[in-house]
This record gives sequence, C-alpha cells and structure tokens, in this order.
Amino acid sequence: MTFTPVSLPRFLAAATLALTAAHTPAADRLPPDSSGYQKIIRPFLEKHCIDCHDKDEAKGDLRLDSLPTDFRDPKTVEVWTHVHERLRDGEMPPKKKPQPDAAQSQAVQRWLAQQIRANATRSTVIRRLNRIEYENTVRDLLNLPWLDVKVLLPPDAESHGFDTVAEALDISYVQMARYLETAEVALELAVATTPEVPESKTSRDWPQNMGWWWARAGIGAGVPLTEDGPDPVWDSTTGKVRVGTDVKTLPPLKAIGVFFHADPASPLSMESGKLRIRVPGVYRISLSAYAFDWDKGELRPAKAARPFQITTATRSLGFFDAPQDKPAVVSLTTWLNANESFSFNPVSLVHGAGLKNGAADITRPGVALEWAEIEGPLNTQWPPISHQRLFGDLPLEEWKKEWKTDRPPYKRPGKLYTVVSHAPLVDAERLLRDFARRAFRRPPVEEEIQRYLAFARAKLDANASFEEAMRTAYKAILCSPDFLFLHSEPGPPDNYALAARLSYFLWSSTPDDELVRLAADGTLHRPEVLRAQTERLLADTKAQRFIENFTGQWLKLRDINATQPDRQLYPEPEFESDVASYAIDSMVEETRLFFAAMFRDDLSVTSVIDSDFALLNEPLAKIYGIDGVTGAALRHVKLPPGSHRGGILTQAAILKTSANGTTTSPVTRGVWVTTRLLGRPVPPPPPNTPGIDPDVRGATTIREQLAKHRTVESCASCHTKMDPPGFALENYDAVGGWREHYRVLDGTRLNRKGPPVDPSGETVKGQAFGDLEALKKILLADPDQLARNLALKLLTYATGTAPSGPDRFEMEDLVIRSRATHYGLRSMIHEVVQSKAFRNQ
Amino acid sequence: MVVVYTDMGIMPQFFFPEQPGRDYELSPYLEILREFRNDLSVFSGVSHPQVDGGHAADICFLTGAPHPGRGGFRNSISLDQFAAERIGPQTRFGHLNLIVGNELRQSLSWTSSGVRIPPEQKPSAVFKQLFLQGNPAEVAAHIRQLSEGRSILDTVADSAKSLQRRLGAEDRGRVDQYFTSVRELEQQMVKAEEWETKPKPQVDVPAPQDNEDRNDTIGRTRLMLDMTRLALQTDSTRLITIMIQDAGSTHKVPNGADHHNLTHHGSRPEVIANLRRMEENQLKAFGEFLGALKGIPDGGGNLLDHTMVLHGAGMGNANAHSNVNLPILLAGGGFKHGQHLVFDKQRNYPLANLYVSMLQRMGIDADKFASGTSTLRGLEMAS
Repeated sequence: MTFTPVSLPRFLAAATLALTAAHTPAADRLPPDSSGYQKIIRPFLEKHCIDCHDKDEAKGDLRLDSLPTDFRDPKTVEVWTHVHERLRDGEMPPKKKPQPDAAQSQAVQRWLAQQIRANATRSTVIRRLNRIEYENTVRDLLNLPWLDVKVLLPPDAESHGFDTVAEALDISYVQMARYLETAEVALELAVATTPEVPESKTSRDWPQNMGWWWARAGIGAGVPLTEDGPDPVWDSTTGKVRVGTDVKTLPPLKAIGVFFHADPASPLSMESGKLRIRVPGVYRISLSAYAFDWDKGELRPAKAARPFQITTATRSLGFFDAPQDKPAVVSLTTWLNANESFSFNPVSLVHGAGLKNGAADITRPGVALEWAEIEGPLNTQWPPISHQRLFGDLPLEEWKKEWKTDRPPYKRPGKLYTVVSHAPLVDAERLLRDFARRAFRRPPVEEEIQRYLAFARAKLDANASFEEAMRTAYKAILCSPDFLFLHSEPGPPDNYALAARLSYFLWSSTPDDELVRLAADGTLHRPEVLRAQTERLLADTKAQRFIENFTGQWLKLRDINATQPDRQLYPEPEFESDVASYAIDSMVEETRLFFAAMFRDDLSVTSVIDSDFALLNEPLAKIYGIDGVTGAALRHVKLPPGSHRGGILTQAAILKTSANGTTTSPVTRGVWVTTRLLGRPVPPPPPNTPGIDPDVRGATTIREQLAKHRTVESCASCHTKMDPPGFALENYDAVGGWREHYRVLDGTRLNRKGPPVDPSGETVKGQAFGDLEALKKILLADPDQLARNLALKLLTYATGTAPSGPDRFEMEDLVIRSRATHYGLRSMIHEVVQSKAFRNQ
Repeated sequence: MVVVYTDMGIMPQFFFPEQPGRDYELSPYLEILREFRNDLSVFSGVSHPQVDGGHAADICFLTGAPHPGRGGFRNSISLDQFAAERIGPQTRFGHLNLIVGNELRQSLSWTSSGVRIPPEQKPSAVFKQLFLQGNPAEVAAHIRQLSEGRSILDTVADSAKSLQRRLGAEDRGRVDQYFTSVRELEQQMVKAEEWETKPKPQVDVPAPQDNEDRNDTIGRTRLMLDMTRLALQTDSTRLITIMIQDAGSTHKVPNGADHHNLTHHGSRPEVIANLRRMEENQLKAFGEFLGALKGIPDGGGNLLDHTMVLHGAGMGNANAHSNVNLPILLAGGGFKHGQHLVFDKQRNYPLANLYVSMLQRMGIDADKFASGTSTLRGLEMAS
C-alpha cells in the first residue's frame, strides 16, 4: 500500500464536528484533511517515527510511511488512535531516541484528536447471549433462581478480555442442539406437576444416627459429648466408644465432637434416613454446632470460634463459625436434588483419620455437631410463579386415556397431571403474547405471534395435548434468534435495546418489568431516568452478577483454581487440598467485596493500587500476617503501618492467580499489572521464544535468569515495559504471602530462607523504585491512567465491542471529568452509562 | 483415525530419540513401545507455527489456529471435524469426541465456526450410544423428539429470516451463521432418524462401569481406549479424538502431588522422577491400545494397519510452558513407518503437514489444512 494524498478541502470546523459526531452518517463525515496532514503530521513522522516504522523495519508490525489518512475508514482510525495514545503517554519515540519538541507533539496530537473525534460511527452490533447470561435470563424469565443449565452449554470464547464481546460469540449446531435441551430442562422445572402444593416437612437427626460421625467416635477420631464432658458411652481407658454400643437404644446424645477435618475418604456426611430427601426442591438446612477444646478426657471451653464448611458432593454451600461458648444454629437455603446429601467440614482442624490409642490422652481443638435439620420443599406459592408465567391460571388435571390427545411424554413418579384449556387457541394466543414479550425484551410484532401460534396450532392438530403444544412453542421461542441475540432495531434510539444493554451490563440478565415499562413510555434514554435506573440496578442483589463476571475476567479471578499450591514449598496446613477452598474462596471473596465497596462508596479508582483498609477474615489475615481477625466473615480492617497491603494489587487472589502454585514470574505478573490495571498494551512474545525453565533448587533466582534475557536488545524493548511491576511484586509469594527470601528446596527439605528477594526496578519512563511501596507512589501519581483503563474495560464489557477510536476519546473526556469526583468508581459507572458509546447501541 | 492427546506435555529428554532415520536408538519412552517400532513414526522439530500460550494451545492441537492465548482469538475447524464433514456420513456416528479427566473444560474438536464440541466423559455413555438398542418405545420416543426438534428448527429459521430483514449489513453475517447452525443440526437430525430404525451392532462385552476415581487416570484412560477399540472394530465411526486432561490427578500415587503441579518441577530431580513414572504409565496404556488393535484381524491385515493413531501433546516442555518441538508420534494407518523424522528444532516444521498426509490417507482430497501446505516430508504411504 502506498500513501496517496487525497486533496479535498476541509469545509467544516472541527469544534462543530465534535458535537455532532456520534450520529453522523458516513457520507457527511469529515473528508481527509490532506493539507493538515502534510503540514503537521508528515514532517513529524519523518523526523521521529518512520525510521523504525517503515517498510524495512515495521517495528511492532506498524508502518507509518504508508498509513492511509482517510479517517472515514474505521480501520484507519484504529491505527491512528494507537499512534495518538503512544504519543500522549510518552511511550514513543523511545527514550533513547531524540525526543520531539513538546509543542510539536501537542500539535500532532491535537490534529489527530480532531480527525478521530469527527469520525465517530457506531453500527449496531448484534450479539449472542453468553452461557452465563443465558442461564440468568432463563432464571429471571421463568423465576427459577436455582436453574442450573450453564453447564450444558459449551463455554464461550472471549475477545478483548470479556465473554460479552460480540465478535467472539459465534454460534454453531452444537449450541443449537444444546439450546433445545436446555429449554426442555427449564420448562420441565418450571411447570407444576401436581395441583396441590407438595407437602413440606421438617425433620431433625442427631450425629449418632449419621454413619460417618458415629464411626469417628468408634476410632477415637471423635467423642460423644454431654453438656459437661464425654458421654458415658465413651470409654476413658480405650479412648473410644464402648464396643457393641447400640445407637438405637441410646437417648439422643448431646453432640459428637471431631478432631480432624473431612476429606474424600472420610467425609463428615450428614446422611441419615431422616435427612434424606426424595422430592427435588428448595430446602432449608439448619444445624447446631460449637467449638470445644479437649484435654485428655476433659471438656474445656474453646479458645476461639472455629470455622466449618457445608458442602454437597459438588458444591460449597458456605463457611460458618462454630462459636466457642455455646452452640449456635446456622441456617441456609439451597436447591437439593433427590437423595442429595450434605456434609460438614471443620476446615481449621488438622488432617487425620483416627487415633490408634483413642482420645483418652490427647489434647486437641475440636468442633461438635449437636443436630442437623432439613425443612422443605419450600414453596411460598402454588402453582409456582414459574408455572404461572407459562400457563397463567389454567387448571391442572389428571391425564385420562379417554381424552383424544396423545399422552404427554413427561416422566412422573406418580399420577400424570397436565394443564388443560377449554379454549386452546384463545389461551394459546394470550399466553404466547405474554411470554414472547418477556423473552424478546420488547413487544413482539404481530407476525411473530402468528408464527408461534401457528406452530402451537399445528401441534394441537397433530393430536398433542395443550400443555405439550404450548411447551413446544415456548421451546421454539427460547431457541429463536430474537431470544438468543441482543440487537437494536434500526431507526431512532431503541429504548428497549437500551433497557437490555443496561440490564445485561449490571445484572447479566434480561430487563425487569420496570425497565421495560420505561422503555415502552420512551423515557429511559433521558439522563436522569437512566441515572436513577443505574442506581436501582446497582442496589439490587442481581448486581452481584456484575461483580462476579466483571472481576472474574478483568482480574482473572475465574482462574484462581488453575493451579494449587505446591505442598513441598507451601506446607502450611491451610493449603492442604481438602481445606484449601476456605483460604482460596476467601481470597476471591475479598477481591469481589473490595470491588463492591469501590462502587458502593464511590471510592477512587486509585484503590486498585492502594487503600488504607482491607476486607479480611481469619485465613486472609493469617496469610497477610495481620493479628486480631478471627472467624469466617470478611470485615473492614484498618491496615496497620508496614502491613505491605492495601489496594487490589496486593490481594492474595491477584497474587495467587498471577503465579503458578510453585513459582512466581516477574514477566507474568508484570504483564498482568501492565495490561489489566494500567491498560497499556504489551506486544505478545515473538514466535519461538523459549519460556524460562523455573528452578526451585535455589541456585539461580528468576531475576538472574531474566537478566540475561533483558540484556538482549530485541528482548529488552518489551521487557523494560512489562517486567517492572513484576519485580516489585517479587516480595509476594505464589500464595500471596510476604517474603524477603525465596523458599527453596534443598533436596526435599524446605528452606524458607533461600536467596534474598530484590524487588527494585525502573519503570519504562526511567523512574527508579526500591520496592512496591515506592512503585505504588509512582503509579498513584497518574490516576488518569488507572481511570482510563477501568473506563475502557467497563465500556468493553458493557457494550460488547472493543471501543473504537472515537469511543476512546469519549472515555478520555470522561476521565478528565472524573477528576472532579476524585475518580469515584460509582460516578464512573454512571458516566459510562451516560456516554454516547453506551447509549447509541 | 484416532487422536490421543495429553494436556500436561511429555518430558522431551525421555521422549525424543537422538539419531534420525530408521536406525535410531529407542529413547526411554519409546522403549515402552518397542514392539511397535515398525508400526510407528516419531517426529522431532514439529509444531504449529504461531500457536503459543502454554496451556491455551491445547485447543489448537487439531486446529492449528494462531495465538490462542490472545484477545480476539478465534478457533478454526479441527482435523477430525474437517474429515467428518467429508467422510462422516459413511458411519452411524460421524465422529466421537472423548475426554478423560476431571475438569472437562477443553476439547480437541471444534466446528468450522470455531465453537467447542463438548466431549463425552463417560465410557458407559459411549457404550450405550454405540451398542445399546433402545426398546421400541424408546426408539419411538427418540424419533418423536428428533421430529419435534426439526419442526422447532423450521420455525426459528423463519424467525431468523424476518430478523435478517430488519438488520444492517454488518449484522447479517451473524444471522447467517445462525441459519447455518440450524441447517446443520437439521441435517444431523435427519441422519439420526434414519439410523434410529437400523439395529446397532452387537458386541460380546458387558457395558463398562464408569471409573469415578479422579486420581485413576490410567484406569480411566484404559477404559476409554477400550471403547475406542470397540467403536473401530464395529465400524461405528472412523474418527475419534481423546483428550486426556490430567490436572488434579495424582495417578493414585500415595501422598502424590497432582500431575499439573509436578510439571512445574522446577528441575527438582525427585519431582521429575515422579512425573516420569506418570508419563511412562500413560505410554504403557497407549501401547496396550496399539497392541489390541494389532491383534484384531481386519481385511487381510490387522486393525492397526487400517487405523492411523496419532499421539501427542501441545507442550514441548511443560516446565517452561513452551509450545514448540512437540512430542508427536503416528502409528498404523498404512504408512511406511519405523523411522524418526527429524526437522529443524530452531525453526520448526509445520505439524499440520502431517495432518494433510493423514487426510489424504483417508481418501480426502485436501492439499492443505490449517498451516499445512503439503504432505509431511519423508512420510510415505505403504502402498
């Protein structure tokens, strides 16, 4: 490609253009400003840039000698935006080359800014719901909060860091096949299968009737307890339960206490005949537990509350504290499948199976269970809302052979009930109209209603029952492009599409009735209405999905379990595999709560780098070496001086995710900080770059290994950009702990005082730092950078497209305005929602 | 064609022979496969150009799509799916896509639009799919389900047409993709309906019990390879991919660390020794599979003669997470085997050239695939 100047006069003032940019049709956009280019840009490029960015070298695959100048072409705009940003951030020309005159550089930037801003275009981008959004949408559409269908769908690809980005959300026959299946699963769960509400029962049982607990007492790994001490069935000479004790003849024991945490070979399952559930549904699980200390047969008050976890075979239901003085009741509500049982895991206790000589002569901490109770299935109304959304108030009747329709193909344990209608076509139309409106997030057009109605009618004509005909039509709606894709209708700003954009941004789901109502009356796009709705959505519990999905990808929290701590290097009991989830789930929770606090309290984006508080529970405080925090609940803790903590940057979740369980790499962590927190692009490694072969034997440190690499000029040009934050973070080990020396292995023996850590370095701009505290000061001096990064990441996530050049300038304006609110995150979310890039879908 | 892939790499120092050609000395790992020396070829200095990103490269083993770790990455069609589009209709199942492991996040098989095809994890489900004939009511129910599915697809295709009319040019491509998906699924359903009424082949073995032990990689691998053998023996399909995803498994070594952690061995000799045992056991299980195929007579030769079995990993050195110099071997399938083909270790030879050779061996008229632009130099068909 060669540079061909196009000589067209500039006929519009740039200032006017900037205001009218967003909706300018292609033909009216700014034509190439050839004279400006020749006068301002070309001489600058020739003096400072073209040496490296020409056809001979084309460093970074960028050629500036032949870059087109027609800013009406979006691709051209992207490249020039990149050039503008490198100049603005002082990254180019490189430090060691002659630096441009500031006024000249300013003039170049001004000219580029004018051209780019003047050519804003935004085309509608249709995008498929990702599988998380799909699940949330069906959950909210049918009011099925426990629906679990995400796992049936193939994982989605991501682009520009997020799985909400349209270009990566392809669709193939694989998804189509699965959508048929997931729709079936959802509809089956949604409909009532009996006219009467299923009976709810409460049953309680004691650990003596739970096999695993009783077995513990039998091998000395646990003890039966009364108020004052061991129950008489416990034999103080063997330290175990008396041989031949018949559980059935015992009065309920006060409790059984255990000394070891659970593991897969020895779970503390609360399985018993009384607690077994037969009907799937929502249940309340309650249990009473307490902590105690055991001293050679004597019961003593515990020194502290002790945490325990409730799990099913496949998921964690949460962490709770067993109090130290008297038993406390813990309750939680969850969905349980038939025969699904739950287990108890006292995660702070040590690992062990049994005690050979029983518990007679040991002194240990313990946790005791008094009883467990299960109540359910819980149904607040019947038929459930999910059923009403599909069938309104139509009655359920037992299916009879005499009916001329086919037997509905549903598997039911007892009698087969089905929805009946005496005016099938009238009911079908009414129900389809209502369902389509919800499913399509807009009023359906008449043609659509008729299409699905004809489909249901064809089923009825083919002898299907009313319920089956309707379910097939609902399935079709749930597989239709109008449900699976978000898009906006052409013409004036589409308020329904705006409602969807806002709700998928902050709830990862479909708009609720209020948003749809505001779309219908055409007021949603008004700044004050949009602002009030943003507040409302953020205040709702569904905003938790935004926190999880945004931080899960921006900060890579989804990958926290990609590696487990190496047990030789990190033998700490909290990282033992059966209890590690307590520490690791806490890490993720800390970062999520911190981000939630940032937008709740409108904290500055600089909190990403530093803060004077942290949100901690006991395992986190232990990793951070902070005293006085006990229990499972995370709480606000003012950081003591010299804590080495503060900000997201030094949170354990970040430090663990950016390491590999064994070693840390300044390159990996450096890239992590540079791209995710600072938003500076890092070029990918050139092909066939060998990775570093990590060595934990202590002979060479990672820094020494890297030093060789960094002296090669072709490597250094990138490594000087990306490594520095990684060096500063070398003071933090692979599980987030503070270190001044590397841990190394002498043979198999752990040496915690290996070679000393050197956290010093120099930023790409040549600012030297001695450690992370010093680097933090450097990073905090440029809050614009942090705000810009977060604004762009939020916009990408929210709009499902990588911000275009003009979008990036709009975000730049936002950054400048956010100086006035001290870069508060909540203010910034409002600004993003109010931006043209967000509103003009 | 069978592809067996292990996602934790294979330690190069124990895999690659030193000498090129036919007279190479067996490396410690190839020693395990000694009896198949003349049934296989081993390759050095091959990889997929521009496929990098450490573990991210797993999903590109059969696609060769560049830079899986980067933003904006899009996968492309995998070798098995490319072949299935051409020879799939000849058998009851166009392909089988299997996985052994705990996390089940990945897959070797990808559609032409770069969408992951979820693999099957349960040997019992594979067996059921291949051999268990439903009773007449079940067959009828399945046919009813397929025809209902097709009627739904017809309706949503109409919705897509009307949506298409309301969209701008940029967005129509996406709806076209939706159309294609609907059409492809319809075709598959038509084919499934046809096969549904034909009896499935009968085999003289009991249905397998799934192995739920997350640490028993070898036991699970054996079971899946056994299903693979049965599928080939009954000609139920000719394209099978198996990903062995081994993070989180200790291979039942008492107090053992998991396979993934061991690969980050940091050059500790005792960790390398443990890792070596794991890899040796994996290759033993693979050898047993080759032996089983070789023992089954098939049209004048044996089943191995008529089945290409590719074994490989996406990392040349897992400790450094490098994606070059991949450990690759190809057994059976009627090639002139028995050699160590050596390519440039600095500037690797494209692995996809091997895929072109394999496609042509299946009678597929393809002269390129992914980054492959010719058949693999030095690998010739037996006759």
